[in-house]
Parts: sequence; structure tokens; C-alpha cells
Amino acid sequence: MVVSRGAACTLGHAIEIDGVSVRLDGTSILENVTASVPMGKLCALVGPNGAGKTTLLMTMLGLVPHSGHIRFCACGPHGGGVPRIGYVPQRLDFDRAAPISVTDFLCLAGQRRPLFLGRRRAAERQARAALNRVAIEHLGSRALGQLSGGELQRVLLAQVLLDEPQVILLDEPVSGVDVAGEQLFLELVREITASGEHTVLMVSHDISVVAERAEHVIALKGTVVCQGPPREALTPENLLRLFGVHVHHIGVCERPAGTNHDHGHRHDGGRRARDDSSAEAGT
Amino acid sequence: MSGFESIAARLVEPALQLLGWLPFPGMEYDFTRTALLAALLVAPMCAALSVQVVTFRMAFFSDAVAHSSYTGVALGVLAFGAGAPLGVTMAMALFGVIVGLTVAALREKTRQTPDTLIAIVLYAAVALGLAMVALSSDKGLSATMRPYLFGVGLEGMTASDLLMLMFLAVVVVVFQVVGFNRLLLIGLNPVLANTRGIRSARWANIFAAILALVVTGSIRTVGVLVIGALLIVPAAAARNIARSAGGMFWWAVAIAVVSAVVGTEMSVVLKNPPVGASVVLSAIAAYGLSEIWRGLRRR
Repeated sequence: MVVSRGAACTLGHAIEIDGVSVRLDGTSILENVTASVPMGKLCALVGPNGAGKTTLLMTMLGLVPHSGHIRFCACGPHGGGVPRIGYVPQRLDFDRAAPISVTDFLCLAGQRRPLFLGRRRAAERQARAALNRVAIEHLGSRALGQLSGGELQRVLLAQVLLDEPQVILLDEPVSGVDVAGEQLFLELVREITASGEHTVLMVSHDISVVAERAEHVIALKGTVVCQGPPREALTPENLLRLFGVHVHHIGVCERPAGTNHDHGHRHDGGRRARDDSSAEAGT
Repeated sequence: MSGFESIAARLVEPALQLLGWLPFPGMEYDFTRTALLAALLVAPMCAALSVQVVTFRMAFFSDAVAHSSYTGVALGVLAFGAGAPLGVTMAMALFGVIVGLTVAALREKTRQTPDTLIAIVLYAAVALGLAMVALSSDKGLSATMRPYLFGVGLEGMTASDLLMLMFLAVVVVVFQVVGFNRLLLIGLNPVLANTRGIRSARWANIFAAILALVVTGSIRTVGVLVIGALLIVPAAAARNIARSAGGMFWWAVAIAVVSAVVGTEMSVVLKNPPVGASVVLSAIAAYGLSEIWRGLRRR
């Protein structure tokens, strides 16, 4: 059971994760995770490979048995309602030669009528509007298999926006996307969050992305290492605990106050701390 | 003729009469019309499912269910005797569904890749069938099994076979209307489908069960050896031609209908090669044409 009743939610929180533990095949994946995601903000979930980030996401989706409670405070006075959750997977595992168009894909979710009996006008309209929101309305008739990684992620984001979810979960949305596509995607996510209607939780292992874009960060390594605004939470000590090596350079902690600006470049000298290359980064 | 057989004959009569209007050679005979109707039911039904078989990459799975139904036939013949086709069909269908669901269940539980798992279940089932046939005191068993391997041919289809196929066709139509969108979404990403309220695991099991039912139901018409082709080739050809998911469905069904007619007529004109084999050959010819079409379109 994902949604628990009874305990009151703290004002301003969209999701409260309360003492969640997950064991799979006798191995502890998550241990007593307690964290909260602020309402209407872009929150990042960071940590090395195997830290349990995706597991935590799956737990929030109700797909993994767990102990502890997860409350969705945006719906119902005590987090007792069932929220509309949108989910963007890391990738679609599909046959790239399949003749499924972008509009087909969006209508799959938006209509009950089987696609072989035609697409409903209303579903097509919705699909167009969603594509418009992620600035790819020209790709509607393109086959899914012909999209670039960045375009596909934007289609997945459009799919999520179809039913105006209160919570959007993004699982490593920009892994395997080139830098330009990544910037564009993250800019879109920021715009969507800025409306204040959606709370976004984004799994990422790219600390520099988090430092630049996220308003809140939860660092996970089996359990919560730290959480809070990136500038406060991602101290060198916490990053050392998280990745096991020294990660300097991200320009979050060392950056003087007042220079936290956003003009499209990085303050890491082009070097990015990714957990998969963190051994290099530390030496 | 048993009571059930005569009721079945009366029920399928209108459809057979309708086929009599077709301007093809052999349509004046009851048995060719029966064979054509069987092919026209089996091929599009399999073609509709082939869209999901290809999207889910389940070609090997459908083949495994088909081949293991050989064992289902052996079980049925041993239990009910060769003279009870209904009992044999039931045993075969039950065995096929069990094999299908076993694979689906093991996939959740073990760490083997799906193809390894399918191969293990498939060969366990087939080896069991071979052993049963060899050990059986009924020396006629292997002869009884022959029509199931190759299909019963032009003259062996009965009215009750047709009635069962019609029932299966209705099941498949209902399943596709309710499940087509859901299965496509599951094929794209099961977790995404879950977040949209689709129970992925349950639908995958239902699909496996229906696939097993259709395969076993079609075996007397097409034969164990080549039935798998009808679950793969139409969608493979359709994929080359269609530009949308709905288009792929209709192209697969259309290719199957044409293959059923051409294949049955091939058997009639060439005097009796097995209908299943000639329908499959027609479908594969259509696949060849689709590859050429795709090549031309690319230029």
C-alpha cells in the first residue's frame, strides 16, 4: 500500500516519505528512508549507481513492496487521496522499426477506442496540445523509432502532461541525450515546474545538472545522506559520503553568494561529476 | 455423425453457402469451402495476435507454445483415444495454456533471459511428448499424431472444428478491442503502462493464455510445424508497409486474408498439398513483396 492515511502532512510538502525500507531477495535496497519533496518545486534525487534511486521511484509508484509510509499531500487533507502521478521512464524498450507514430503513442494513453478503429479527434487534439507544450508539435506524424534521444524524452514528457499530473517522476531523463538536448529538456522541465501546478522529482546522477537546475535535492545511498536546497546540501563532505571520492569543482559550494545565475554554461570547467566516472574525478 | 456434429454443421452452413459464391476453382465442393473457411478464420485471427507477438518480441514464445502442443495432443490421445477429437483438442488447449503461463510465471521468478527460459520449458514439454509416444503401448499413436504435425489437409476439417474456430475468432476480436491499446503501451514500457492504471503482469498473462488457445485451436488446420509462421509473418510484412499502429493491424489482417485464399486455392489446384503449408508459403511471399516495397520506398 503506497498511500497511507492518518498522519497529517506538513504544509508545503507534496510528498512525504516516512521510514521507507525495501528488501529484495534478502538484500536491503532502501533502509529507513525519510525525506520530503516540497510542493510545486523541481526536486532532484541523486546518488551513485545502486543507491536505490529507481527503487524509491518504483516504490512511490506502488510497484515495490515496502515498509514505512509514503504520503501524497497534494490530494486529500491527510495525504490520503490517490494522486495523479506522471512517470517518464529512462527509455522506451521498443522495436525501432515498429510503425508507431508520436501521435499514435499519445493517443494510446488518451483514448479507450483501439487504435485500429481510428484515433479520436479529442485525443488527437490533446496530443497536439501536449506536443505544443514541449515545443515539438511538428513531430506528430514521425515514427517513434526515428526520434533522437532528446526528442523521445520530450515525447515522453508530453505523454505525462496529457493528464495534468500533480506529481511528475522523471527517471534519469537525460541519460543518453546529447548536451544540447539535455539543456533543452531541463529548460522545459523548469518551465513546467514554474507554473507551480506540478511537483517534479527527477532522478539524476549528474551533480552539475542538479546544482544548476534543482530547487531541492535528496541525496540517496541506501538511505538519505542529505537533503535540502542544493547549495546547502551538497557540501564537499556530503559529496564524499555519497560518492566515496572527493568531488570538487561543481561550483555549488565554493561559488560565492550572489553568483548563482543561469546563463547556460557550467561552472565546472567542462568537467561533470557523474558517478560512473567519479573515480576519475577524484584522482 | 454425432448429435453435436450435426448441430455444428447446421450452424456453419450459412457461412459455407456464402463462400460458394466465390468465383474460385473448387468452391462447388463442401470440403474445399470448409477448408477455405477454416483458413479464413485461422489466418486473420493469428495475424491480429501477430501484431503483439512482433511488438513484444514473442516470436520464440509463440513457437514454443505451438510446438509443445504436440505433447498436448499425445496426452489427449492417450487419455481420450484418437476417436475423440474434442477431448484431444481440449487436452491440447489446456496443455498449451499451462506451458504459456509457466513461461510467464518463471519469467517473473528467475534470472534467466526470456529466450533461455522459453527454450527450457519448450524442450521439457516436447521431450515429454516424444517419450510418451515412444513408451505408449498403442503402436498407432504416432500415426494418429501425424495430422496434428502437418494439419489435417484439405478434406479433414469438420463442422465442429469450424464452430470452435468461430468461437475463438470472437474471443480474439473482443480481446483486441479491449486490449490493443493497453498491450501496445505495455510493449513500449510496462512501468509506464502501470502508472496509467494498466496491470501489466495480468495483461501479459491474459495475452499468453489467449495466444496458447488460438495456437492450439488452429493446429488441426495448419499443423504444429508451421503454425508459428502465421503468428509472425503477417505483422512482419505489415510493419514494412504501414505507417501507423492501426495501419499495421489492418495490413496484417489483410495479408492473412489474401494468404488464406491464395493458399487454399493452391492446395485445391495443385491437388492436395497441406493447406497450412500453402497458406504459410503465401504469407511468406507477401512478406517478400513487403521487403521489396520497403526497399523501393527508401530510394
